[in-house]
Amino acid sequence: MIPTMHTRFLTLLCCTGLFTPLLPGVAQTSTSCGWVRQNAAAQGDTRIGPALEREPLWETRLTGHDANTLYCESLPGDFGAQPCYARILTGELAGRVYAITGHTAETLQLASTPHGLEPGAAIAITPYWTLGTLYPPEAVGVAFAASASSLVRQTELLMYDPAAVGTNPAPVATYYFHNGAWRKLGASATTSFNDTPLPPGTTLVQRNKALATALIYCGTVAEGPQAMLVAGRAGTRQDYPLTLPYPVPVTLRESGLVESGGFTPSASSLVRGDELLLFDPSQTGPNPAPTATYYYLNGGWRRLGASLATDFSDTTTLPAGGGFILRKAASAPAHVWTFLP
Amino acid sequence: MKATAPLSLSLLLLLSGLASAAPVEAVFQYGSNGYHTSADTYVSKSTWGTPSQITCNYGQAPTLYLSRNGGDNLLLRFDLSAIPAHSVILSAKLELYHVGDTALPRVVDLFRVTKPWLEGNRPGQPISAPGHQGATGNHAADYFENEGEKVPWGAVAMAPNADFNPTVEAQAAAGPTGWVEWDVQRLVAQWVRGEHPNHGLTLRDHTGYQNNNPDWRTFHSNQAANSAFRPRLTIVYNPHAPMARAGDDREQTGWAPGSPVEIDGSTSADFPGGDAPSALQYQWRVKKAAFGSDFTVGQTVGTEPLLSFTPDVAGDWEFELVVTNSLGESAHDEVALRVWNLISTRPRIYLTPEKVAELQARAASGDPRWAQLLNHARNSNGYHNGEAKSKALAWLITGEPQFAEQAIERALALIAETTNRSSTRPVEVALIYDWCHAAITPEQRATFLAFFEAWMQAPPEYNDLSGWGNYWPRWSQSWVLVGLATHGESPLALSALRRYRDERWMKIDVPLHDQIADGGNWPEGTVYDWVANYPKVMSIEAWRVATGENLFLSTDWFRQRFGTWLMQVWPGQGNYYGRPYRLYPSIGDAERNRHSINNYGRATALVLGKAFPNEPLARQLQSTMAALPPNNATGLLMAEEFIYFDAAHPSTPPTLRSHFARGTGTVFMRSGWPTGGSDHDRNVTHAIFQCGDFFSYHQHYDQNSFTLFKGGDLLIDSGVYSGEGTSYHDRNYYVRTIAHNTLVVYNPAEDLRASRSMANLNDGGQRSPTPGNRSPATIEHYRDFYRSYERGKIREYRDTPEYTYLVGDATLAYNSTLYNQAQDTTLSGNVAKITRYVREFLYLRDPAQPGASVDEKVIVVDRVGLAQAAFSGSNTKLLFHTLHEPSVSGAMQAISPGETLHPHAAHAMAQADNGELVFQFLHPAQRNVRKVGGAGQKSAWVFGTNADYHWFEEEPLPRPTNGEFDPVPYGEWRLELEPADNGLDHVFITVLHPRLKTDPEVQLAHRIEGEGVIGVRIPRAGVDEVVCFSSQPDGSAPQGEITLHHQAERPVRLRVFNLEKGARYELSQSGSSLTLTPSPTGAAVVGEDGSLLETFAPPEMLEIIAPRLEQGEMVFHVVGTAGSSVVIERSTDLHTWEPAAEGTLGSEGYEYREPLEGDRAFYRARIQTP
Repeated sequence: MIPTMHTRFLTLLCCTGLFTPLLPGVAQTSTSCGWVRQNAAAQGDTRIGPALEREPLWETRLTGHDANTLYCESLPGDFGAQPCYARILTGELAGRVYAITGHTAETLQLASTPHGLEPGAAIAITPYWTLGTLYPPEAVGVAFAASASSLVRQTELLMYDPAAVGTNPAPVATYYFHNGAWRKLGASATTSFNDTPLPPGTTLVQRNKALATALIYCGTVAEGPQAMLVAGRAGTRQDYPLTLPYPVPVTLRESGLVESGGFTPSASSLVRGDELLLFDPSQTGPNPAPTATYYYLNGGWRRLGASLATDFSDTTTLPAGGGFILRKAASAPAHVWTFLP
Repeated sequence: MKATAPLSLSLLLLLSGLASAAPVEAVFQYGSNGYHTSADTYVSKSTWGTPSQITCNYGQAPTLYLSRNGGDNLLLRFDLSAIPAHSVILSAKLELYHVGDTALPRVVDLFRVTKPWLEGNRPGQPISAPGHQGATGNHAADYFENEGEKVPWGAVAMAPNADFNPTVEAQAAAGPTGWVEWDVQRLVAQWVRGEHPNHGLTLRDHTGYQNNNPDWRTFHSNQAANSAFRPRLTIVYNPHAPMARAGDDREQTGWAPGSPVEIDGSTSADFPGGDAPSALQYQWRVKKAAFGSDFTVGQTVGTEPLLSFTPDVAGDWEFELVVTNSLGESAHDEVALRVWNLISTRPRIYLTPEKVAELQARAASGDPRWAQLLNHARNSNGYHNGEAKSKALAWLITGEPQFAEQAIERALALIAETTNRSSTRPVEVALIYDWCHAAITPEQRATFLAFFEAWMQAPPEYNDLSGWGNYWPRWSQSWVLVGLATHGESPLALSALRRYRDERWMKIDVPLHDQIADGGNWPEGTVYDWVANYPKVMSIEAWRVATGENLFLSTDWFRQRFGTWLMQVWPGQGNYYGRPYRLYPSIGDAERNRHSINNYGRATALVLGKAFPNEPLARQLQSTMAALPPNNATGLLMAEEFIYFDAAHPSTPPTLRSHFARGTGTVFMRSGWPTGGSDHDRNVTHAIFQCGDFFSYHQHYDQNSFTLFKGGDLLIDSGVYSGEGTSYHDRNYYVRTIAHNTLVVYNPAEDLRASRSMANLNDGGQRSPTPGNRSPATIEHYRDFYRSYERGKIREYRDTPEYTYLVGDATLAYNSTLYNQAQDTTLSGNVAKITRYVREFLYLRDPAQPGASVDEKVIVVDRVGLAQAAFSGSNTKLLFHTLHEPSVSGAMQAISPGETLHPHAAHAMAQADNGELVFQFLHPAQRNVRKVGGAGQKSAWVFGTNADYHWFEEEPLPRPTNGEFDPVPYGEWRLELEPADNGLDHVFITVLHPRLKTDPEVQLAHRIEGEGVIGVRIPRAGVDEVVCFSSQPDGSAPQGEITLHHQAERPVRLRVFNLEKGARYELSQSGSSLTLTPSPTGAAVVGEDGSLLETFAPPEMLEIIAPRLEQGEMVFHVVGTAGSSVVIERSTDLHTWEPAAEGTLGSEGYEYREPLEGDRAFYRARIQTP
């Protein structure tokens, strides 16, 4: 008995065999899935984000759109009461992600307008990771420690607002697990925040107390472009706490940060453009400082304090599922960082 | 009788060196070898000189001037009396020495002069003193005062027909200095044999105005100082040939079928001193057989001097007599024979006594059509259309005198009412006169004959103009019916019959109909087809019955009519054929409330069906006419219905799904005939596409337009007809491009007022016929001004059970870079506005239900090239006219009352009756859609003016309902598809989904990009229909590899158009790409319409689903085709993969489990290949 099978694939199965192929078969490989373990030290802050995607619910094609209303070839009647996002798979906007705010049997309502989206574009509808799906209650004691009360908290998950202005932003919310569900500091301790969505690229800071933890989860491996909008702000540097949603370490060169225009190069080691701040997950203590700051100069990645002759393009990696900060230079232009696995 | 060219046999003998047949070469040049009997001059119509050239004679001038457009025209004459009259002219060339190099040549026509002229004795001076004489611009012969009889030209500087034969005998081009040569072999032969008096020849300009080409040419004359450069005529002839004489042309109007006709060639003779007549050999051959004859051209029908020939059919014949002497020299002559079985009994119009007897027998047998006719004859007063005809026919069948009396009373009333020379009244009068002849008193007969003779002798009326119009055939019908009615009683009758047959039909009409013959369509649309061609067909039927000559075979147009008739009306109308109302698409001028007019069509179809009983499409058409027209049908039809409907006529169910009338550039399409000949299913899909040339007044400026019907009018030719075509609405909207589903490009400086009389608005549409006439009268005018009439061509057409595909090129319909009116008219603002307008139209039929159609698509590809960026953007519009207000998707900007703009709109929808049309605008990405219309707002919007349907611009709304205009509007809304940028090249792809409101939901199409192609994917039952077209703006075939981006997830039926015919490709698929690679051995071959079809399945499906963690294990399922062998591969870095397991997919796939070890692991499945 197959526990779940999404409807899209049922359609495909039904079609198979209707026609006799006139062409020789093409060696066919499935998409990939897998699992990862992400350790978080005791008495420390660890930046963590989902490195795998949840299994897509549906794939469809765009037939047209009016502003933020997308007309699609086919849609499931029911998303299963789970918050979902739409990822554009093909075309100019490939890799972009839009929150779905509503849907019908033919349309998707997005939180914002996908300017430039053309009919025919393939779209995947994927459920968000949420606090309750990434850190499910059954993982208590392994992935996180339960708190006795809102005052006596063990593992905390600190969430940041990507729209917060400036550097080193304070967390916008702190969650703790209590009495079988995730609770939000400052909110009623009986309100479940299990369904709080974690958009792709989200970084959480997992603040452990006595228990060192191991977050283990499974999902599908992103095989298409992953795009994130990173824009500077006028007059101030801007931090983006990010996680690359990819389950293996990626070198700075492979990240495509520079190549896709998502990273402003520096004029010199003193007049730096954008910066990349990496952290050591084994550090202990709250609010650890970044262990290294990188910038891009003269065609290579440089580390602050290291020789300008050293290129870190192929030796430094973005951690799999580990958070980092992309610090945009003041007034840096808006870029779309597109990572191509 | 006329002699023609020598036979090649003569030349062979000459070349063989037989002394007796040696050719002789003679050179005629003034002043050479004592020859002084040639003459030359030129005549001018110019008046700007002093003295005026028109008054001058140039007989003794050393040069001969020719100037453009008949300004100065040369005259030359050579005395050829030295050549024996029986000689065969082997060759003859006229040479004139041209002086004055010009880069561009000027073509000079040579004509035979038909009037004597006087060379004259002036070197370029007027005839102004005693002794002066000669030809001038005004005169063929002019003399000083009373010194001779002045002979004027037919017109200044000579007139065709009056002064010279308008047939061009030869052409040559005068460019560089040197000899210019004309081939005058045929003309010299005619002179030598005495067939035409030798009045010489005239040379006249052919080229006309041409930029950078001097208007004149100068040649040396007989008075040139150097005699070597004077005009010369070199003739090679054989004096030892016989003279063939086939006798005078013959006419036997009372020929009895089966009787022989004798033609006498016995006056033929050999050259002086040659063979005796009895020693000559004679051969009579058919040069032209009468229409419908079994004799073939070239067939030998006699070998004696006297030919006794028995024609198998009546009509016009031509024979060639070849006479050969013992030297093997031959000569030939031709003779024309006309035999008509012009019957003297009555009735003779449409009927004969034998036919009446047959009808009487049918009436006695209880024929329901007779009962209908008799009822009509008894219960009508005889004053409406067809009523008197019914009475006259009832008289013939029953002999009851009251019928004849009433019909005669009607005819006499018509005669009395006639205040002008009507085109059609004589038709009814003549018919009653003929059918009721035995009942007419001598006094009445005198009245009738006086009326007929007065009519025949009256001068032509203003509307008796030839061309593709409807008055001309009405007048023609009067000529033939009056001629037949009075034959034997009036000396004018035969002249009237010849006038109809020779001067009107054969000379004027046949070439016009040949021009549009292919496909048998009529360029003015359905209504004027009926109006113009009912009298035409009835005329020819009358002629056929009365003379035996079958003029239905004089042009192929009649035989090809049936496809057009089957397809030109909307589906579901078959059982209305013969009813008062039969709805039809509004193509060309067409009142939609013109009730009884469709009965003209039925009567015409009945007559033609009998004329072509074996035509397959005639049989299909016959099946649609089986139902008896109801009693409330107009009486117009009753007589024809009884006379011509034949229940025994071969009939087969209709199957025609597409008909291409190449002559007019019209393609008719329909999904099928699910209810057979009764055709009562209005849910059938029907489309008409138009892309042809301009022919006639009631035609619209609508090239590359189409209409679409399914359950209702989905896309229409909009607007309403006023009844004559000149209302404010007609001239500015209804007939113009703006009212049709095609392209408009607005150039504010363009002047399109000549599109119709009094037109004053610029609709951005197709150009007017200027400088040609809006109603070209003759094929000669049409050809002379073809650049004015050349509009569109259907460059590709293919019909298959799956689709109809066509490509219309309407570039020339607009002022374009190929031709624009600024080039050769005073319309200086009418510069090129487009470089290209090519429309591809693909009608994809329902593969599952070809008859009824529930899954049909129309893909329209528009390739628009603009000459200036200023004409692009919102000045370029593809129009889609709908019956009711459509809805458009997307954001909306209100522009004005009746107009909204929908930037980047992707969809629209319009409904009509039971039908619905979904539009998808897929290419280009940068586009705008405008919705324009609304009663009292922009219902007939023409770039700033609402040309609503009233007679005059200042006339206030509400609209008039005076019986001329339709009382209800027809299409007050349209969609305008525009490029959103000002680029010069645009390719639009629009997918249309015609459907019934009750059909399943539309499966929308999706845009496909590629390299070399663009296209669409349309989900259809069990298959993705992928249709691609060249991405080149001009639609040229993509070069090299073609790739289209499409992730095949379902079986795909791929069609790619615009490829090189016969090219071969290898097709491969990889990931989301399909690639066509040119290969001489490729399995995919491009067909005759430039399209390629491949059907294939997507790669075998394989997917991992439901990954999850269960009790310390990673668990997932692999699903795909049951029975497939799969390998599970494992990796920890997504680079290196190792086999972890193998298995076979069951009906629920294959489950894989693995304990969690390490920090990460990844899995994928792969089809195990042998």
